[in-house]
Amino acid sequence: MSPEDKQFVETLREQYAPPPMNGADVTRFDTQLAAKRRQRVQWTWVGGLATAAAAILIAVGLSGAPTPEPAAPSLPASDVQWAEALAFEDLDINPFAFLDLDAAVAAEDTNETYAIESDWPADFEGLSYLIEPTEKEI
Amino acid sequence: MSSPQAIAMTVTREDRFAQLVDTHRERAVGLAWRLLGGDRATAEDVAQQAFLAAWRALPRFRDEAALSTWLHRIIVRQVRSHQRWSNVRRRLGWKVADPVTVLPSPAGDHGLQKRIGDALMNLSSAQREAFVLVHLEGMTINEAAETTGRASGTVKSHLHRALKSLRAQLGDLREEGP
Repeated sequence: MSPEDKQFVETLREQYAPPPMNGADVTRFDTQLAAKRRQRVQWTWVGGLATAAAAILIAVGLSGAPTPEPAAPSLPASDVQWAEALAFEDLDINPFAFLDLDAAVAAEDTNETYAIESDWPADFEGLSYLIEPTEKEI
Repeated sequence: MSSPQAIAMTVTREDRFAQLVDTHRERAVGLAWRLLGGDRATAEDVAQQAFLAAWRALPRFRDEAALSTWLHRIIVRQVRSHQRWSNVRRRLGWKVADPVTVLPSPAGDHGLQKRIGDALMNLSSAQREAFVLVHLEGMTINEAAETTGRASGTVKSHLHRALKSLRAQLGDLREEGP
């Protein structure tokens, strides 16, 4: 620092000094400090009691309360309809019809096709000539 | 805790605390007063909070010098915390106590004291801390660095900027001198 700056800082230090504490200031300071210490001790007790009470309540609540049943997952209405459809509850058709087709194949080998043909739906019988070989073709 | 050893320990702690307050009361209030721009009531409150923290930490400190440095560090932090809350309250439009209540010092000029306090409050808190601790409280750069929790080089830099700003704000004091 330059000599001017040193002088400047010295001026600030002299002029900007806190007023000294007299006897009354010291007594007031110590009284306030003692009051704050007492207050802190009281709040520490209150805080400790409140924490203990909360811990007891939580412990009692956890030990005595029945374990709730897990809630069933709720599905949107559209998903419920899909689930019912997949359960084949409202279907008029037989979902195992493919087994009959297997039986038809088996019957073909034993020349029993016509016997099974009568079980086909009427509209399918009407169209069956398109896929069935005619006597001429045979 | 009613054994004789426990009672003796409690008395010793009380005695040490009373001695600590008695030794550091005036300097603690003075440091807070300078950092707060001359607000005496807040300075006393901050010093009391620092002593309360010292009471809790007293058993950990055997060395009184270390306790003194630690006390100053607590005061600096308490001042920072107070100023942050004051800024928040001011922004929210809550009522804030008059930040500067400069009481006239018997040795100084009241108007000049207020001007210097205002100039210090115009500095950033880091610059103000560096200037107050080194130039007004007489700490070394390293002590100020330890007290503020900043690197020595950073404190030097803040000190330089603080002096430059104060010269600009209070140039007439520099020219005229005491």
